[in-house]
Amino acid sequence: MNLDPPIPSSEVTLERLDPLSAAAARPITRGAALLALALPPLALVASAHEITQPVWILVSYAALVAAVWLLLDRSRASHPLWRPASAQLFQVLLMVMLITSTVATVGANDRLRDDWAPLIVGVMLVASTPYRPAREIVFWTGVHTLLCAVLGIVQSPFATSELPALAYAVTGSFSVAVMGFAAAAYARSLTSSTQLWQTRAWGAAAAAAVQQRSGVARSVQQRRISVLNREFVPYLQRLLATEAVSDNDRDEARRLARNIRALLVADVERSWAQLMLDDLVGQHPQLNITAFADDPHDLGRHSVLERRTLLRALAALSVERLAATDLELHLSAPDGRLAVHWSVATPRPIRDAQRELRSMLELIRGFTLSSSVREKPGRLVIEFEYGY
Amino acid sequence: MPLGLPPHLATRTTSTAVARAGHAAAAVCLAAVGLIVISIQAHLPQAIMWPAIVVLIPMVVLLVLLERSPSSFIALSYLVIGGLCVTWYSLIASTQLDTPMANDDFSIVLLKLALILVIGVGPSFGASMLWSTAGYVIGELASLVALVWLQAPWHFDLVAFVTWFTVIGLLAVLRADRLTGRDSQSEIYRAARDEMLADVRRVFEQRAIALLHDTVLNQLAVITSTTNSLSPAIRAGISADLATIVGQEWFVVDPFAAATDEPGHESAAGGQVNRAARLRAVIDDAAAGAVRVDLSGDAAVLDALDAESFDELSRAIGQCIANVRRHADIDSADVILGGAFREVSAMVIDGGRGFALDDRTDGRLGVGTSIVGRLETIGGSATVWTQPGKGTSVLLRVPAYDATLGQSVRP
Repeated sequence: MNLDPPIPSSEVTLERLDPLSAAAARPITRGAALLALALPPLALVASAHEITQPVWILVSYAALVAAVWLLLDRSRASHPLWRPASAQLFQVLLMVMLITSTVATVGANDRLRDDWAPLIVGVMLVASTPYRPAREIVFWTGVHTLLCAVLGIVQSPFATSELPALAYAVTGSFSVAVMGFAAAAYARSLTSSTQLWQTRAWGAAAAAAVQQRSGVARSVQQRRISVLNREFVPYLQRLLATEAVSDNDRDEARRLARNIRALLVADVERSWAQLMLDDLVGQHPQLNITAFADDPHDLGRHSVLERRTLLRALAALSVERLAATDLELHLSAPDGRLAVHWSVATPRPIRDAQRELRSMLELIRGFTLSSSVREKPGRLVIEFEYGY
Repeated sequence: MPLGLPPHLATRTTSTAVARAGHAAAAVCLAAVGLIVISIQAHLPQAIMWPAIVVLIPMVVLLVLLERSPSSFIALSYLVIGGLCVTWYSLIASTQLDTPMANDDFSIVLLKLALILVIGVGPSFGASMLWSTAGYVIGELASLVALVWLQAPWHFDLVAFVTWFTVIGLLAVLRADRLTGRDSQSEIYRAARDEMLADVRRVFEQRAIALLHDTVLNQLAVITSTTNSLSPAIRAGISADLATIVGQEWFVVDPFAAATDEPGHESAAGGQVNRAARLRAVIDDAAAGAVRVDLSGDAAVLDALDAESFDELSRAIGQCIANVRRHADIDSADVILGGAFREVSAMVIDGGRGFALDDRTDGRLGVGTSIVGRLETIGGSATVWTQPGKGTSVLLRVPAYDATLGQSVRP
């Protein structure tokens, strides 16, 4: 099988392995973001007396807003996958929030266990689970836990209870550790199970294809023979029965050679994209569909199996769910990456069409570098670019 | 591009992951309690806090067991013993620290959270909700027992309640989302199967085109250039090709067959002779008596090919010789067999008139289909070196059969 190289374990995210799971988790992300934004004002109302440096609480909240914005923006359905650089920025913003919120209450924080900042960091780590690798979540959980522990020890002299500093370190960092490690365990379990399943699924599909080789070989031979039986075979049989070759025989040989050659050349030159569309249209003879593929360099054929599979699935869904009347597929490689322009004419309202393809569009988002969906009169246009 | 999880596995996989997350969180809770107890013991050496650490051991052991081999029995044991541990811990902490017991004390809350985070053992989110609820209820009852024992007042434990509520909410959201939105997944599986079958079909279509080029178009070209009657050799050639086209299986469909599995093969030495002889026959057919072909090199390398690869390599070599006969304007050629690591190669050399590679006028047929395309279908490759007046050399390379993989080493 010619598949994409496996995703390095340091970059495996749930979103890349199973975009639909990530899409399912999006309401949780939004809920977590809302909670994160609402919690500090509520906590301030309850313990306003702890604020000794109001400016720093504003800085802290600003860092939180920036982190939440990053989280929501990078997890949007229309946004490409979350890149490591901005993910690290997200974590740094959370660190800034932790430090500045501590500075804001320095000297007056009598109970560490009700601090909102570590709780929010934990919530944010959970919210980022579908979009970031488990390893990264573990790393940042460790960093935030350590930071919270240090901040807990720093604040311990001002606390009302006379507990050892280590107890304050635990109290201050507990919520980060519990949620962060839970998030990492969730991500790790889900990604490893998904990878295992996918290895088996591709293997099973390949085995099924191997089992059907004999049948496919016979059908290919039969199809060719039926073409040859129309003229070529009777011609040769007739020729073998005669003594001399006449001018008419030679003319007929030339004509037959021209026709057969044209047929073979057309077969050889037909791109994968056109072949795939023709195959699909042929499976639905009752529908009146026109299909056109523009792939002069036959980029589709040189694509890995996974990419061709996504294109085939999109084409099949367009025909079967949208009752497509016209399909257009353009493949190009402007920057060395395979770029896809997919256009479908459908009698359905475009909004309905988009709803029908919702989960497929989620898949495309997860599997591609960038993607967009737009509307032209009577047509749904989907563009995406492979590569990471 | 990964396939994603199919609907029937999504629920099970996610609920397992949620349970693992819960167990990780529970482990953090127990570890935090342990650290707190150790720090207090170090801070107050006169207090006897070690029994509180001992209380944690059965919970940790059961949590590990639950994680490794989840079962209802272990989960139930974890909850029951965990409940007793909460009571026992509350009593020890209160008596040793000489403070009034509070059911919302931080370390007691952590133990109760460890019970709520049992999450569950099965694939059902509904069952997970019940297990977590049971953990919440048992934790609250256990701390209530300690309160009654010590005659301390009860407080509403907001943290435990919020944690339970959050866990239940998360499970409910995941449950609702799992029921919808996976409809395109089955389409992806179907497309993957169809695409692999299309790959298989493409291979055979390519070989069929090569075969028709070598037989049908070849015979029609011969007939076109015949001025009078067909010679016996041409008649025999046409008859043989006609028999091939309508009377035989075109393809060897045995990709994973080792050389030793071939019909008629009785020994390794016999196999070499057999394959070398078969290759010789293909070459002689292609030469049609007009070209003298010297076959040299190590014929044993042919045994390193599976049946399908050998068949296609032979046909490609035959087509090279046919090209020498038709175009090279020379009556001799050499075929040299060789082998390298996991590869079999054949070099076809003639000292004929050669050609300019860019001057080919046969579209994408000819060398492209009969030789290059044919070898590509078995993971091989062909390289042509030629110049007008300087002869032609064609290097054919095919991956060898790998007995350890049970298939040819194809890219």
